[in-house]
Amino acid sequence: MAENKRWGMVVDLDRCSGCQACVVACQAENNVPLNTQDIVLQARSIQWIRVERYWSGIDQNDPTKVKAGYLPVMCVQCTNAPCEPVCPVYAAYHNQEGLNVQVYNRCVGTRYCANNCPYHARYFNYWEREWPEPLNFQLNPDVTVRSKGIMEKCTFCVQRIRRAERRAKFEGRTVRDQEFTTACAQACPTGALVFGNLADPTSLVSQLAKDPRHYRLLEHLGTDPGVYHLKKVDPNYHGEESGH
Amino acid sequence: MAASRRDFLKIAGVSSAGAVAFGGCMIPARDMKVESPTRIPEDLVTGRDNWYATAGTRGNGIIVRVMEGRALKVEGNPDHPVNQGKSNAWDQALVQLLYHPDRYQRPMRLNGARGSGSYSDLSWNDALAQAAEAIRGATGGRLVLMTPPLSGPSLVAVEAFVRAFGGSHLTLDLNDDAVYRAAVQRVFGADVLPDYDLPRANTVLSIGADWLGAWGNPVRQGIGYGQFRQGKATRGYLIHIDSRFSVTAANADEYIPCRPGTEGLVALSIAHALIAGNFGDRGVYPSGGAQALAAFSGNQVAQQTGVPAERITAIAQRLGQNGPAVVIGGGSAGAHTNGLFNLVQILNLNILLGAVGAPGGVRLNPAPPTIPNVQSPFRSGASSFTTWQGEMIRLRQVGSNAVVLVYNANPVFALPPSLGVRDVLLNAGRVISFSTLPDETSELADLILPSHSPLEEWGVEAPAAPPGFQVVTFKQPVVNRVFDTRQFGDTILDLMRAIGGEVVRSVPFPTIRDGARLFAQPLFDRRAGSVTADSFDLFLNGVQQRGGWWSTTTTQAATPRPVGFASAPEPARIAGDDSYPFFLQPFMSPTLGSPEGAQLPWLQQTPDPVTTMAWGTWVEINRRVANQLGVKEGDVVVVESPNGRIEAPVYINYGTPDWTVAIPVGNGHTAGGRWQKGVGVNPIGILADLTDQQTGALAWAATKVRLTRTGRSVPLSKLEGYVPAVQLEHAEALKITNKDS
Repeated sequence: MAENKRWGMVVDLDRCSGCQACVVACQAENNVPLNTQDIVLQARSIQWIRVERYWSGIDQNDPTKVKAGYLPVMCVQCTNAPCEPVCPVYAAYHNQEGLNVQVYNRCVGTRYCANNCPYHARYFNYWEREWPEPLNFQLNPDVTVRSKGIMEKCTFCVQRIRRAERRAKFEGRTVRDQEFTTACAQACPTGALVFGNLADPTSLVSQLAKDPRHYRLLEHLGTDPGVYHLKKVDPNYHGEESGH
Repeated sequence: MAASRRDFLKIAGVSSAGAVAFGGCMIPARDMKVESPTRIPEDLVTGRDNWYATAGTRGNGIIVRVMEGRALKVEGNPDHPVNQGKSNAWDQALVQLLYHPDRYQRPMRLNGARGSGSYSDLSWNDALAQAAEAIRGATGGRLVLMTPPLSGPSLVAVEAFVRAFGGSHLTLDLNDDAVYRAAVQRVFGADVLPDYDLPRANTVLSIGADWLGAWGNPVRQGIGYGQFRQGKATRGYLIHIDSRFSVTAANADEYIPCRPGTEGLVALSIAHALIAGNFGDRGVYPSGGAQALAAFSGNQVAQQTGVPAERITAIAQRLGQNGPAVVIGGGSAGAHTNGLFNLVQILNLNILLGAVGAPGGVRLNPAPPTIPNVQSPFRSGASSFTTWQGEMIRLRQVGSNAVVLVYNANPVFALPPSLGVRDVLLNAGRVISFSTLPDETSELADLILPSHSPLEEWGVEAPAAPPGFQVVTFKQPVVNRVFDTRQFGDTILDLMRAIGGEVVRSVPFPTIRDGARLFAQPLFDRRAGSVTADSFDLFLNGVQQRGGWWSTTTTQAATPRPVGFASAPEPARIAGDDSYPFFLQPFMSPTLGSPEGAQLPWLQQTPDPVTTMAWGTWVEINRRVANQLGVKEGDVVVVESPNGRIEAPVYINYGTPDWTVAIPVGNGHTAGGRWQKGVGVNPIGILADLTDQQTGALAWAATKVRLTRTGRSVPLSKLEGYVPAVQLEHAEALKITNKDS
């Protein structure tokens, strides 16, 4: 693999069944706070990856035409990230491997970044979150626990990236394709989520990103996301083919 | 001065065991957050971890990441042939069950009246002595033990224990599909559930079984689904027929609603169309051909089933022309008084299509390995509803002489109140709980001898539906016990020793861990399979490291069987007359569908895939029905059946058929941990106690209800609304193509 890195992901919507395994796996890996009922009711729950569900074919007279489509959405790690330039304290910055990284200790909670993110991928900690003992034993020591007033979002499991890179360095080699993956992709039963290095043309994720079904969310905004979605296939779809 | 996190790490670092016992010494929450203000998360240096293999949910193998004696993360075991490294929300949440703050932490004795919740602590010696005293004289059918379906050495110990007292062992599993098991036996002649070769199928027809939701093993089926869709040159085509718009319906290329209880008729009409079209395996056609099933033609049954005849013809054409095709049946299709009739007709379509034993079809499974001197070493499903009914009648007669033991089964919640489980427990002489977490049943206990959570246990399991060959999963504790609990099977063995006599000698091992060795011995003796070794100890290490033993050569050949379609219809009995216009369809969601689902915040907070609802109970109806009732989303309605009434808010599910009211099962607890108690309502409370005529399973989809407005409205806790429910034309997010690429 080339040393050049651009971590990215492919989400195959035709494989995704909406099962939510990715969502819980992410919560477990990344110390995402508990979303209690009052928090969900206030629409302030934190899910670094969420599975959006869209209705289509709604016909009041014929429920059989209704379809529900699933769209997993996480931070798409834009190359031209709208969240980064608005941060007054450089808590949101771009690293050498294509990640939009959030430095929690710099964050002062202006929420400008969330306001500027067109993907609703950034989440603010409105409260000091708690894990009643001994539930805190489960917390991943590789991942910082965020406190009140801090913005957080998907990191592409940066701790796993670093672990794999360190291991590769100790062994005098480069990181191999599919040697490791993110928590969401590792759990995903249907194989809808594939993570890897987009800068390596031989990687699985690069190959999948060339699929004719590929598109990127809100691509017209020019954010150059690092996440490619592959269109859902509906053999009975008679509308105009969407896309660009 | 309290030890800092750094000090703690130093202490933990000198432990050579790898697993550190914490006991009462917990890390204060504030110390978890200490870090350098200049450190950037991406530069964090990670510590060393260990991974231990054990058993997950529904026959999955899992590996658990352990650091400093703490279980951090569950992943699918990449070696395990059932789930191949993948996992689901239930597996992931096992760590929350392990570290649940409301677990029973030590043995306790009731102080006040039964159900008062006033307990005082006991030592294990005292608890065992008191339990042994209560049990010792409970012979002659006075003793009853209620558990989930057990497996391996725990099952052996429990069966010997119950047998010694002439008692009964009742098993309960909300997800158990007893009718499906019976139908598999009837149609395929198999005692073990089959595996569906989804990756190689080109057409899948499923009726009733929400196999992408909570039915069967959703992880294994999910793996198959991904490959079915995009893992081969031809994209698979999914047709789903159901009385409810489920996760599988949402993912189907065609979703066809049918009237509850008529699923067997639908299958027969498809069979008729297949034969009339000269499709499938002509060698198994019934004598008389299509004429034999003429009474079930699409036109004849359309009125009853709600499925138009032209769709039946189209389904038959696709099944016949776009093979390999496979048919899955289960779930709500079997949850009727004619459940077995329905599932037998559905599964018979596989024989008609020549799908049994064929690529992309139904893969039959061999029986699990036999263990010398052990009669039924692995689980065999839950007790039927009629068995529970019979036992409750008997226990009412036994009255205050009854001794009821309960372990992680919650019949007070999970069975219709008409069964009277709560009254039986209130009137029993002694109630002893071995459960891990408090619930409606355990809160009636006089004595509590708490058990380990699954990640602290030894054990041996065989998946209910193996991948076509023998698989045995070995369970091992991945961390030391968190609280002063014991493994349930070991507590039973301890009780047998305390009671004395012949009882204990009938079990060929002193502890469940030793029992696991006993189960491993015959596998070692085979000198074949996924693990082989020169010595038994090496073999045992091997199977525990890999999470189990399996042998891909132990397959089960399909023997030709005649197709056995019914010649006459068997109508379903439904509870509720015409004044109850809707069919109540209770369902398990992929999040709350595990027995402890409501106890665990990750499973409560994770949105239901179809509705995006979390934390609560809702009533799914379609837009047209809502308009007729004059209700909108969030309006609270009364759902009333002949057996009771509940209130819950409405959610508009656009795909729900006109005749269906769907309500999720799992919430509505009046007891339990902090995340379970007081959330939502329990639809089981209004179910009629009808049963499948042949298996005695509860016909949980056979109750009709009516809806009335309360005039109240509540906000719904859901993900929908965070983003629009329907895509905006100018910013389309979910894109669809009709290109079959």
